[in-house]
Amino acid sequence: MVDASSSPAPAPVTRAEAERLLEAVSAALALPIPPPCLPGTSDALVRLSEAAALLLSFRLGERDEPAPVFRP
Amino acid sequence: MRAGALLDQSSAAIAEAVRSRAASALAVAEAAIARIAARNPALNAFTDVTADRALAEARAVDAAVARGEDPGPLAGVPFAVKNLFDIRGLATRAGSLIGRESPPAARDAAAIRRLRAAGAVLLGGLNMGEYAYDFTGENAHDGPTRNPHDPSRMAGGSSGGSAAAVAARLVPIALGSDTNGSIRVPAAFCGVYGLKPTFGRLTRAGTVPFVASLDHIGPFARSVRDLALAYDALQGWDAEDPACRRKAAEPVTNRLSLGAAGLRIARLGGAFDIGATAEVIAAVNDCAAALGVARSINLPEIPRARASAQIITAAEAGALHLDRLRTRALDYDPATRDRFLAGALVPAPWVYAAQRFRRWFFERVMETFRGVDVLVAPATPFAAPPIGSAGTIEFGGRDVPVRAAIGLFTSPFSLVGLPVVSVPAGRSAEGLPLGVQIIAAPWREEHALRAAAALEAEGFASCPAPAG
Repeated sequence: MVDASSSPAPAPVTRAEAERLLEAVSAALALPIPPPCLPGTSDALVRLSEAAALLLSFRLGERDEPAPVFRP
Repeated sequence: MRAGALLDQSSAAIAEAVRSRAASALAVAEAAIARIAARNPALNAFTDVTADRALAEARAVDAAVARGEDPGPLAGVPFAVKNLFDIRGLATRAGSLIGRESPPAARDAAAIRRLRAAGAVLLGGLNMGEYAYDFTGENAHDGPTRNPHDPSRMAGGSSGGSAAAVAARLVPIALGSDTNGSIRVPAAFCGVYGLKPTFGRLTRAGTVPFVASLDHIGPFARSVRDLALAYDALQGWDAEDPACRRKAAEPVTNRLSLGAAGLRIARLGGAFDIGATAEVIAAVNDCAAALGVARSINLPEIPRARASAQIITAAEAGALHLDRLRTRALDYDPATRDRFLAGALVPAPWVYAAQRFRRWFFERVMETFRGVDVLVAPATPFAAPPIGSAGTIEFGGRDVPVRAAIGLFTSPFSLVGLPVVSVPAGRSAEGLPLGVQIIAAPWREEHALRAAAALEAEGFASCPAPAG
């Protein structure tokens, strides 16, 4: 088992990386991004990656459960 | 008292007048319709006025009174709902262009049915930010809701029409929804009370979802008693909302007179002092002093709590809208569409990290509530900005978009589902209302409402009447 604390958390994506992420995932999801939306969507992805970097750099144990719990 | 003057009174006063036959529900409904016609064009709070239906419902209330029956604690009280609640016979807009193309709702949302069962009379649907992804109250399709205290200012969002309609005395009670602050923000900007109950307390059945794991509904009012009356009428399990917890109703209206007696209260400092204006800090300090608060405490990792809410919101909302975004992205409000699109592209590990942090943060918050019953914090960092504000502000050493900064004090508490009352307290340098959050442990709405009632009784919280 890999020690979860041994890998560095990713930094926020750059604008260029956000554009590549957008291109790849939108193609995989069959979600065309209209040209007027491209700059704003890339900007929003950069902001979300900044939030994600904060969370991914917060070390939790493998047994720390996520919040939503399904109650059958 | 004339019916028009009754609209300036509390729901409790209206219901008493109707039940005692001092005024008819019909006259109150007619007065509300006339007032909406006169004042709404300047505010843009209502998007749909259900006048014929309101008159019919009011006549039914009067007929019940005439038969010697009790129509309920909200007998003849006019109310209106954010337009993401289904209203029988109307397309449910949810603030969107696409929503208004949907077929008319076959029945009312559960919350409307519950207020109706308590005797209240529905007056219509209220303006909101598109699909609730908004803190401003602006809307490209319906136009912005304007703040009754200064029409050049935002009403706040996304339940902007709900707060503005109550502040402007169009209705004494309105319903809204809150995912990251969409009840508490407009309540603060418009100077009224708003309650975001515990996650899972009130049924959301018959509303358009935004973020299923974070969405709440709740009431707006101009007094704590009215807020509690509406909340009590809305309580109770509902099998049609999977998040609604199977709990018996816990009425609070008759417990408000207990005030803050016996409650252990602390002021939140640290991250909740950073970025707030001096007037906001003063409002929090005044409320804390009025409640006899002697200590300030910090919650850990507030920036990460905000980040967690941001990621979960984007990802769930983007995934929910994926089909529509594929074909109708350009029909969305430009203020929301790029965030919806980006949310649909979020990698799963980001969401998983957010949900794992959310659990960790909840456990730390619950440790705090072992030693305290109520927390006091600002609702927004500043008073209502001008409509159309763009750009960024410096917030804790980072540049943050103004529109996102509005919700930075509210999102950590909805992330973990805590009940919060936003009380109108203090004024900005320009004379605009401010709001203070009164936060309690899960399922302890009573504690937050009792503390709010104490602030109201001592004159530290009140709903200022708009000028003119």
